[in-house]
Amino acid sequence: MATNCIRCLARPSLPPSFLVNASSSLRIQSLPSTASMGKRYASKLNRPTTNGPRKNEKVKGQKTLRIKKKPPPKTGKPPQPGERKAMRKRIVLSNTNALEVPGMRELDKGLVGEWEMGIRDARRQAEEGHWVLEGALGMVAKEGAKEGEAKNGEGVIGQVVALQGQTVDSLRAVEAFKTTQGWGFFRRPGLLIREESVMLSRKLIQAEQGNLRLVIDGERGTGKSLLLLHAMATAFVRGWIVINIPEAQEVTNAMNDYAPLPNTNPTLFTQPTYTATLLSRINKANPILADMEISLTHSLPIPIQSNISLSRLCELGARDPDVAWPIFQAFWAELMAEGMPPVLLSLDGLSNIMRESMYLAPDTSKVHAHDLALIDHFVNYLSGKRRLENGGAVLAAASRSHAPTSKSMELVLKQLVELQKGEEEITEKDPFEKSYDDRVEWALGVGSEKATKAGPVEVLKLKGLSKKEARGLMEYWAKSGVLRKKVDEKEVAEKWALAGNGVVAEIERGALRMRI
Amino acid sequence: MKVAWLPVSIREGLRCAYSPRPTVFNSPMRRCVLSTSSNQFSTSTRLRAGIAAPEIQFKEEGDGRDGEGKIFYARLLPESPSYFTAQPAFTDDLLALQDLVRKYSRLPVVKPSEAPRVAWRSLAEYRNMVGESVKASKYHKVVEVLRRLNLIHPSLIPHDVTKALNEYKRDVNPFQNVPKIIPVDEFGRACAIGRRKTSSAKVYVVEGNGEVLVNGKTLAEAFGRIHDRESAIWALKATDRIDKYNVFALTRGGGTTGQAEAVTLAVGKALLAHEPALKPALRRAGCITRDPRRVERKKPGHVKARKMPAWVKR
Amino acid sequence: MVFILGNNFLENRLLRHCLETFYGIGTKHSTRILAKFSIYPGARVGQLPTKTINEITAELSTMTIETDLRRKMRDNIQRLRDMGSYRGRRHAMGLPVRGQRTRSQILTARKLNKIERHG
Repeated sequence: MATNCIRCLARPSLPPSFLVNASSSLRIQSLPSTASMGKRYASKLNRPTTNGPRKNEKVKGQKTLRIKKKPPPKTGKPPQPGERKAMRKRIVLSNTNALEVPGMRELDKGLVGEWEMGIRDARRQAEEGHWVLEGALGMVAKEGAKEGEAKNGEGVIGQVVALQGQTVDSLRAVEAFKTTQGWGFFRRPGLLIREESVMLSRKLIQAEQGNLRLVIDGERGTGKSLLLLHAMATAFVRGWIVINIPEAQEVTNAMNDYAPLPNTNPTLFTQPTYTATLLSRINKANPILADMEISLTHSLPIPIQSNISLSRLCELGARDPDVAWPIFQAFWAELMAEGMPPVLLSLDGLSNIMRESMYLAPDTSKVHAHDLALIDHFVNYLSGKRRLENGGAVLAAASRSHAPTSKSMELVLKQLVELQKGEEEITEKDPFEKSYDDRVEWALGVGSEKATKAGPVEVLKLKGLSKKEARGLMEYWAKSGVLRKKVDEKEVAEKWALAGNGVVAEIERGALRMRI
Repeated sequence: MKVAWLPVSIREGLRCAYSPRPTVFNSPMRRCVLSTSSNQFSTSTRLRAGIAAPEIQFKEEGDGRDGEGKIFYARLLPESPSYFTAQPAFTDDLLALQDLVRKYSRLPVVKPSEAPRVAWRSLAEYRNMVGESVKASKYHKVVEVLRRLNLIHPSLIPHDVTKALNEYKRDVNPFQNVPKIIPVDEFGRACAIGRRKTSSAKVYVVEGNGEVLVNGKTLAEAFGRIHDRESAIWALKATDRIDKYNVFALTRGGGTTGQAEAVTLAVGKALLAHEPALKPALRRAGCITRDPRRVERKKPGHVKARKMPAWVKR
Repeated sequence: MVFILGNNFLENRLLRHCLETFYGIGTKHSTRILAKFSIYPGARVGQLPTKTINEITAELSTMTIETDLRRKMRDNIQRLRDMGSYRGRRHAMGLPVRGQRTRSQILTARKLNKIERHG
């Protein structure tokens, strides 16, 4: 059969078993849906045997070989506008086929409390002189760490902890999960607790009394966005209010409407629609807003009642993009009022806001990203120009994938890391580089005369996982049924080395995605 | 018939008949060859073929004192007794060597495995040297004798035997070319160089915990393909030593595959410095042999190295 | 349907594309107009408030576009013709004006070059 098909140049699109049936035409007739197809095939199959010998002859007027392309099969309706994008952006957080991992701890108040205990112990003992608190990183020194390990929550380092249901809802609302992070492999979302995440959590807890301004940097795939997610999860557990800009790119690449803000110099530009969606996200993510009432009086373009909740205020802003920005400001003023919980302001993709945006000013010059009202707001807090009154943190994660280069930002981050390490030589500006940007330096709290009193931001440079953490992660994968290998010292060492000294995304790529 | 002198015409005729190259009369080279003909092994190329007897000393050519009284034989005697064999030079050589064996048969010998390894001249080279068509089996006899002579204890080997052996040694001794032993320096580093395609890699291997840096970058940054990463540390992986050593590599030239596999070779060599016992395992893993393949050159008349332009009628 | 300078446009069309349908407005002018009224490049006609549409219409009416621009161009060609210059002659003959070769590929000139040039 197959040879016949080749000779008549028709591809057997039907399975071979069907073709065998096709020769007996009687049975074909009985098949209801594909009867006509089968018939056509049968006739084609018979033909070449008759005119096979004179296939080289060319009779005038005979049709030449012309293979008609089959029209692509119609499968239902074409996707609705926006449907494909929704599919692309869909985030699956649960996989019922994955195994349940027994005995997982949850990232709850208890665990965060343990970390808090760790800080207190450290502080108390630092006073006694046993422990050393490292200034730059705020890390508890290693010597004493072992004795109090179980107590101060460091025992969980290298384990994967699950996220609580409510935290997951909130995180989903602030769009902290991303499609590329492989959440769909597991039964429920879990986070690997690494040394840096404990450290960051402790800093956050400490920041309830102060302010934390931190930039998370690191190579591609080292878990910057996930560390940001961890910070947000911790903040939600601690009852903070979280405001997250999940993709800085969306703010600056001119895909949203914008409008100049009157009476500002230099002119700021608001983004009504984006601000409105941001307000709705904030409202969805922070259920505690429903319990808070307005305490200040605001002059807003729309009349509002004096005793509505903050949640309602956000709702009003989300409903009408035209008033979104004034309402966001009013909302922020409320948050800064006395007695409010701490605030976490976070942003992913820092380099996107450290350059000129794609928006055009009325004189067709490009608008600097810092002239967008929302970014201006963020940068004021990141640079330390303004303070979060009730404590809180401003976090920004750099991005390495599809991120523009910002020479100034790279330089400043490099310098700050070198300062933290206490290196003798600090990288200097390249005298031939023209694309340095003073505003970027200012935003990161460095630079010449414009630098703020608060000093430079802290930089957390992420590296690969340690072997212990890698092992914990791989064991979690094995327990979830994703990794079908024995997780032993050898396997971990190999994956760890192949992933460039434990770059977590590379471990995942090597272990989960590139299975051969 | 004894004659004291010969007419000039006959004299010239004799010379022509005896000389292999008729154009060279009494050239210094010719003389040199003849004068040293008693010592067979002084030069590698001998022009003795076809010379039966020493040159006749004529009166005019000599200094005149002894030419007058010397007896001149009209019938010339060949110098070598094997002149009338099929391969006189070969026969001479073989006999000389056998003489040496006989002469020194009493000297103590070493075991064949302990004798110095020598590469003898190939048959083609020997044929070139003597200018005769020597059969392989015949030359094999020579080699047998040479081997026997080579067995004489190196500390007692006589000078003439050494000289004779040198005559038959290949100009370049391949066995002298031994790879340098890679040392492990005082910091515990073993440095080795590997090459593949047009890439080369210099690698330092130290004992450690499995960190790999290639040109200052981590393995993941240096090689995007997982396959390349695996091949870079293949030597360690094949011997289960990924977490026992740290690797610092500097690579230049070529592409990613070439660089990765150059690192493989270099790591393999450096690992051997730390643990020589791993050699069989590494050889099985293919981490010791330099892959000599490289891009074949493009030829004129071809589209690529071998591809020909499409054939067009007319 | 949105009414801009006497033309109707479907609401889901990009404003940028609508502007570029006018004779005399290309990428540069449309970008400038969008920037002037702070409209982002992806804006659709239907999204804009009537006020902005009116402003855009007002802006367009100050520009020399469409009929005005065509008339201006015809006047220029007519001037060349009246002077009896070579360029004017070439326009009238429907041949390339600026010294291009005429052996081949003069379709554009044949199509466009007339005394009463249309586009």
